[in-house]
Amino acid sequence: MIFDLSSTLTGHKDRVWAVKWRHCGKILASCSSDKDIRLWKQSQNDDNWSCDYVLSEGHQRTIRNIDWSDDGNYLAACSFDATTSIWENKSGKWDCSLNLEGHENEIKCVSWSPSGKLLATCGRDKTVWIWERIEENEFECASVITAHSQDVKRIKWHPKEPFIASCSYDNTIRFSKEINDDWSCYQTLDLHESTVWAIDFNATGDRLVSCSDDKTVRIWKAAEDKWTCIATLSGYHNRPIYDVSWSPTSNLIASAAGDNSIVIYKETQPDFFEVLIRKEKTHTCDVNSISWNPVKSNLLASCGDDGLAKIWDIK
Amino acid sequence: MNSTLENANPLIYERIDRRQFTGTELDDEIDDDFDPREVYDHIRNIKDPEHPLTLEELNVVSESNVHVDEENNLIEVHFTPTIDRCSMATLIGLSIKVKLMRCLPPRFKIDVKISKGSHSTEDAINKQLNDKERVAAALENPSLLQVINMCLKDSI
Repeated sequence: MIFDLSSTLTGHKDRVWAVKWRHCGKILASCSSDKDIRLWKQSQNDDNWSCDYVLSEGHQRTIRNIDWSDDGNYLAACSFDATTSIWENKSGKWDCSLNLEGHENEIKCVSWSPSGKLLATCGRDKTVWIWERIEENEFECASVITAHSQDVKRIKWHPKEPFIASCSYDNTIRFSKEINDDWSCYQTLDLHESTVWAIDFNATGDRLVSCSDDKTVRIWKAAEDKWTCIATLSGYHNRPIYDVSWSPTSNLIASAAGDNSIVIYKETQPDFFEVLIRKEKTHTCDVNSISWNPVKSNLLASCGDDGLAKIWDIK
Repeated sequence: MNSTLENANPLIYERIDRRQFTGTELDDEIDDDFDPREVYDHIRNIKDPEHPLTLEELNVVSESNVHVDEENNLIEVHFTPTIDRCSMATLIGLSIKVKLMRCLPPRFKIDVKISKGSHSTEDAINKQLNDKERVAAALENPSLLQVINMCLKDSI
């Protein structure tokens, strides 16, 4: 298997917390403690990835995470400053069209529902907020879910069904949906032994991958609305695992960790996962986030505390 | 803070002698590895948040509780709060972590933990100190950063 560095993206002035591909696969967004979001594009003449746009002055503190709407016209960003910003693409220019306030303190993650009608945010105040788009540029808080007992690290909408998964410093993963006009938690997965940093669904949405401070990656399978753990992948990282990404095109899973390495797993037989490759020293510091390109299945983006984002060619 | 000191009469320990530099350490042309003593020198003069004493004088840190794994870029520091219910334990741990983050090359992973059995809520405090996201958020809080900088003042 080839695991080659395709591009190193320099420009951020502090640690880079997250990278996320737009659904077209042609733009990569990154966000950082330097309070900027950068958009990276491949230039037409030389194929090199370079910074195409800087979205700045939207936040007072670290931008922790970002998420693209499915149509690619909006980018949501959340910050330690307790606000979420919505950026809109208006004929090639990106403007901050909205600022959502409500959380008590640091927001850790933001996620668009596949329809683009709902937005979820979560944070250190232990809550998950569901925002409903009333009009083009108007959101209203539809619900505040208070199921977690600690800092909520990550949220992710199911790719097809109207429910949401969240994971937390309280070591659990929880599923919430709208029941009798209000959103609440209806299932909890509590096998991880420490903070669950990230979760991701596969393309069809019948599997979920999670990663944790307990240095394991777990795969969960849904059967009639009930999720059970079908695999625990341990021994491949020796520091906290900060992110996982399940490729919608190749079905490969990638994990990134505080040991500066990236590991790629494959389902070799039904419900049986094996490590394909473990790449060490991908960054000189912790790797904070990874994202599979949704169109070009060989491209994987990563970013780290070294202030860099990188694009890898994996075949 | 003065009227209700948690530990009004702490035991005071002796400070160790100044480090004697060897010839090769003073030679900028030679790359020498980090050793526990060098790391310890960065943290031993950090001030206790409550007393006008250093962490060394209160025996909160000691050279034997500093571990350096140069090959894997790992540094682990264990500290011992003066009393097992010390509410300042997180702040002390954070001060140690910040000092080392500022002084050592960024390639190092710095783990700061409470010495086993020395605090009633050590697991909770260790988890908090080990959560880089929460540490990063805490350090963006101006009032907390000011308190930490007070502890770190004159620590060199």
